[in-house]
Amino acid sequence: MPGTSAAYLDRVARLLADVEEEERVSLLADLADELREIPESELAERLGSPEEFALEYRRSAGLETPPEPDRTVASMIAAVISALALPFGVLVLFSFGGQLVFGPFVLAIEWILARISPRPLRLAWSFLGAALAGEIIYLVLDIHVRRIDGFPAVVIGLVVAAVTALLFFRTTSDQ
Amino acid sequence: MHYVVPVSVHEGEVDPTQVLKGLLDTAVLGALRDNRTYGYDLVRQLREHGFAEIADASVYGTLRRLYRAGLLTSEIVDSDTGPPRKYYSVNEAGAAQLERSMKTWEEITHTMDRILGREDR
Repeated sequence: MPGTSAAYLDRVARLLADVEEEERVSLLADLADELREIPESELAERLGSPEEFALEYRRSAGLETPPEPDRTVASMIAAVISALALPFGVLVLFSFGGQLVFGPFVLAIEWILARISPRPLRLAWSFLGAALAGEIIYLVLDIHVRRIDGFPAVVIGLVVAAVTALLFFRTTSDQ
Repeated sequence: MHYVVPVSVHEGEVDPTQVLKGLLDTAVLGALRDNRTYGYDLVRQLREHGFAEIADASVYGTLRRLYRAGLLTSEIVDSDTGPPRKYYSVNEAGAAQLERSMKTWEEITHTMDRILGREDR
């Protein structure tokens, strides 16, 4: 299946993640059949956007339509808190030694904020979390582990940052 | 009994999409009455019979709703071209519902024919 069709199917699957598995698998099998026959240039015209498709499916099936999270009062409050907290996260990242004292707590808070924030802030928290995790590991190795310092510590720090970024993206991407 | 015929933004003009949407449950039951099939094949059949304007997602959703309402039975069947398919067919309750819907439809068309003066043509 071409890339656009596969992305369409994947997006619909995510949007209907809460639907009973047997029904969802059955629907996606039917949709995959259909996507194989529709030229990619006609996808939007024939089926609408994945969001429209999922919404129409829910309406016709009599399923509840989940509220759009970014429009709820709770998500607006979360966005404000997240935006206000972001400078403090950056401050800890560039503090002299503060990373080791506050770093793990800040990292835990970043994880929570990354999950509840709107997309742009979510990305910012993900990058900040990755950088902080890498930095903490580097500092711990460089200062406290005598046999691992300098370049090896940098490499390990970068690997930890990359793994953290991957974890953040995988667990905070749109459901 | 009162029937509401949906009209489009042009006053007095019937919107076929809305009318067909209102008849989709009956059309799905009718298509499955003598013919066990799976979702996408049903979409194709309905399209070939003139339901081209109906959103495909509406057909899939309607199938699910009718199934949950106990009007359809389903069976998982292996496929040569992909994952196993869920085949649907009308059960006894679905057939009874279809009969009632067909009677209602006949009443509507009869009423409309009378109003439009087409009854004896």
